[in-house]
Amino acid sequence: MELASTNEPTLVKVVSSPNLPIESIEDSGELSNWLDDPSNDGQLVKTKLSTSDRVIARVTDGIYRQPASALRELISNAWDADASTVTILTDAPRFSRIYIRDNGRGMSNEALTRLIKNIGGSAKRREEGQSLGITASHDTNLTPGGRPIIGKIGIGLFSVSQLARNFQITTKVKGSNYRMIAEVRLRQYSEDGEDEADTESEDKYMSGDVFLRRDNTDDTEAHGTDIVLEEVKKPVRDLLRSASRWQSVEEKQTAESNGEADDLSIADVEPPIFHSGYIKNLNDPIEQPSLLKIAPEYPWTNDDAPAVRMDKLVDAVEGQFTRTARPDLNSTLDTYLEMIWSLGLSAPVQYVSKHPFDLSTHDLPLRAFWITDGRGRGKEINLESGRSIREAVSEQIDGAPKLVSGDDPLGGFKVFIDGLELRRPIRFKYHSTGERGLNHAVMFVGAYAPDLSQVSNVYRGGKLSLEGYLFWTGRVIPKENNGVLVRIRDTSGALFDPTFFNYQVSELTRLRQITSELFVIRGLDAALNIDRESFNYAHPHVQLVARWQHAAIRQLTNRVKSMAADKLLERRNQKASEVASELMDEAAKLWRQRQGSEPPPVVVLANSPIEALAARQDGAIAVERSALSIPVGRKSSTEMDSKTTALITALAAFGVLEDRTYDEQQKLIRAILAIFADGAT
Amino acid sequence: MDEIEEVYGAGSDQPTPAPQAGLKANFSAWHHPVKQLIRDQQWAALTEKLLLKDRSETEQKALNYFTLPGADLLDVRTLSLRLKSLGTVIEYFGFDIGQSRTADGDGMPSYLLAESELRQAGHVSDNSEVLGDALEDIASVTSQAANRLRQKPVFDVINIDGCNHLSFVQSKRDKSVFDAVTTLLAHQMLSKKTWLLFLTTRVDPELMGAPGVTLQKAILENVEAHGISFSGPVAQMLSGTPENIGSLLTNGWNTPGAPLLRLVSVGLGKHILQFYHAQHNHPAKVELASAYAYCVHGNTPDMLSLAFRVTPSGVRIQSPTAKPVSVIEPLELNSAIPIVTRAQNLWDIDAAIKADPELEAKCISGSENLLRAANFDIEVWRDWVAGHPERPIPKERMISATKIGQKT
Repeated sequence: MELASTNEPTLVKVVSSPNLPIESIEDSGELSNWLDDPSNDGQLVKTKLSTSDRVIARVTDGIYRQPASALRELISNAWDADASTVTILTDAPRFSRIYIRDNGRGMSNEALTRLIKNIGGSAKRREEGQSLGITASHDTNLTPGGRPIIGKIGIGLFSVSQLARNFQITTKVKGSNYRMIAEVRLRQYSEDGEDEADTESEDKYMSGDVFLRRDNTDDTEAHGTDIVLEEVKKPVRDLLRSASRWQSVEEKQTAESNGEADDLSIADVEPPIFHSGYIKNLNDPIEQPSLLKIAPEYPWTNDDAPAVRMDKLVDAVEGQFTRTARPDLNSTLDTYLEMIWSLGLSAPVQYVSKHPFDLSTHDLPLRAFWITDGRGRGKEINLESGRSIREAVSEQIDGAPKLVSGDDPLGGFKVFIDGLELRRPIRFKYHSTGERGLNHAVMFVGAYAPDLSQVSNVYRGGKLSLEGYLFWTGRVIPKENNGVLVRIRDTSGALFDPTFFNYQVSELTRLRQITSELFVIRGLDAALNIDRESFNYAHPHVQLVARWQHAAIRQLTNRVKSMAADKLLERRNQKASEVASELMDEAAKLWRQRQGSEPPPVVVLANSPIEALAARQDGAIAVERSALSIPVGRKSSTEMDSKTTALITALAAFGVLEDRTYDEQQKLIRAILAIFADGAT
Repeated sequence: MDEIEEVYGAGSDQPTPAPQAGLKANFSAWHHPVKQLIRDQQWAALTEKLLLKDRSETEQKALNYFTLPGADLLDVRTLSLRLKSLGTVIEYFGFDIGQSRTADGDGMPSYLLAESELRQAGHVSDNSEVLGDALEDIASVTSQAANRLRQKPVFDVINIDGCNHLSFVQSKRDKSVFDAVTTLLAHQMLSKKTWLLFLTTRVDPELMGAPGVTLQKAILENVEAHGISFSGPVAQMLSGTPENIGSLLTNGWNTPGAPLLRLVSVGLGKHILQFYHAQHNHPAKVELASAYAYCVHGNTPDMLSLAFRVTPSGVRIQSPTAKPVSVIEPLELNSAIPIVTRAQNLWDIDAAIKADPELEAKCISGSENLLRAANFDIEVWRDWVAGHPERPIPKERMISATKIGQKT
């Protein structure tokens, strides 16, 4: 059938059914009754997508910074619908259409009507939600299946308006003998009053039209919701397909081939190392074939299982360590793969390896501590006999606290994107900081539930309780995983905050070595701004959480400092004869002034690339002698070695080497050495 | 592209039109009851047989299916009905270049509804998708269609349900359906299990083009290499004698009708056989499992619906000292003869339905059930079939078939 086109054989068309007028219903109750009436099978009804005021209309039109945010909202909706699986399909790298399919409860006619006619007035977490069957009968904070409900405002579904002009919802509730289809045609928000059709009345705003219909089905067991985003907006497609980056790469290549590579505006542009490919011309495939200018380069193979693909994506980013000490996402991945990464971070899915509370010394060299009240260095948790942190906490900490984060009452929630199973891209690995550093990672875990009973409920902002961890390792890879990430109801809108809620103490080196997540069980969500990507810092819950986090950082850094001091003492005893040069003493002093008490990095002048790689893996700053033109193994080079080592330490103390590739680091050091060298280098 | 189009995208001058109310009432060739015989007795029956005979109980639970489904997913619906008892979930992948035009008169894009319906019922997998590219685009290595195909595993069933001839090349394209078939054969090279290729194509001596020459050569090479062993059965298939094989072939290839359809069936079978014989390390057995013919453009059968069964023999390790293998070896003759025999038994399904009221009733009620599920206006459909220029079926017989269908 696909070939029906120019010389279509015998395409016999009978005069079709007359184009019947479409009934319009605006009242929510009437609309719900219409959908419930079997005599309307196969018929259409039209209603206006209206919002209660312009503020909601504006919010519905778009508040997110990235396409991933809109998809995150749809994933959250599926979670709230007790789905066990969500599948997102795109036709990357074309992105002409996006499907979001879940196997959740589906929406009843009342729930669908409410959704359309009361944008911004979610029934979730309200008693009304109980009658609509979208919350548990005993607790409006939970889904019928017992999950904590993520949604609360009721704009999540309409976040897709930022992505597409039109979308279609097909939903069915188990036990029902019909399904409903809503085709939503959105209108771009405007405030210039040019188009009066925008305004229904003084305080009503029309965001678009919805065409609804019900279709009878014999299959009463079927259930779930399908959302199809059609006509994905051009700027969104361009963003997802990294169009401007590929265009710049192309311009750079052209300039280079023309000998005009000095154009600074494009000099730094590099193609992503892993990507979904690039179609330069987004022509309609009806007109001519869609052709890829750049073939995709995925870090996985077509034979890899969905869960393995996420694992390989993380491997790919970590693997950039051979290029730079702190690999980042942007230089490694295109926007599409970065979107997958950030969705993995935000969604309530499993970790690529293990939940941090389930780690044991079988997984990595590790010492664990319980975050105590007040100051101190935390209480050590004994992880002997391979017990997990979760088990050890329950056995050894007063009151036998049970860490619950990571449990799903419905047994699991999986999200697939184009054949990849989303997992949280956070791995807990020990990375050495060199022979002067610790030979194990450090994990601080804790729980916090302040007694707010003394605060009037007018000001309290509700109850607050959370669990959390801070993981210290020599190097956080990728650098975007450095910071604190707050999960409310197991989901997060924000990325890692590298300032740790504006932690002001000068612990720059150690802060860069920490990954932390806070699993908020109760509270804090009122402090989330409407985009769910940032917090209202004036909210008391944010202040309480920040204080707890800062106290935990102090405990962690005190502990790491103390362990490092012990290690240093031990090392001094072992190498009492070692006398540091005056030059290195100065460099170390400079380091301490800039970076605090952390021992200065080990600097290695490597005789080969392999030696450099090994030293880097062991936490040292390594440069190849050949790249600096330093002679190999000659006695006369001793002074040069000392100067070079001191220079590198000084540059590191000022953070000059940070975030540069090894190649750039070596070029910089060579340039400085060349200036001060006698004659040519 | 100007700045406005750069920002707003193409087609932003007009809002998307509102969907039309009412049931669907646009009918095409594949809505005729005769097509139901192919869907049910060829595609569904052979697929079910494949799963029962060549797959373990666990493997029966998933079917990787390549399709050109059309807006209503009628083939997927038929397969899902047949495979329901096995608990099979179909994961389909395919193309429909017309999909962005499906709103023209039929209201909401019906394939989206059909997909949702089948998926929510658990009959098709969440990863099933149809792209809006042309099938032929898979033959262009740098195309998005080929890119997406490469990301898919091998298929259990490939269904090229085309309305046009194999040599058909769409405007602004340079690849034919035949090129696409060859690309799919290459995609299937890594298959370790038996798989099916359903191929529906128009056959007209005037429109055979380059693929016609390839198919003729495929037969001629066997005639030359195996003499009477091959030309005998071919001549018998064409109702002639081996001495006249030359003129039989010439007439057959140039005259519309059953001999031409039989020759195309054998030529395609031989082409696939030769393809596999050329892959010395990945040989496979190729069978013509069934061959149907029917009319679309006139009163002479001009559409072929073939089913090939391909059974890989496993990777063959060659000795470093092995001699080059001849493209046509005796083994191919052994496989080619059964193809000729099967082509000889080409089934004229128009005639079969006409001669068997029970079969006709079955096809009518089967079509009606599918179309009803896909929200078609059954009354208008009956009128359309009753007034069909080539194969009309009186409305009373249609209604009576419905009653019989309801009873059974």
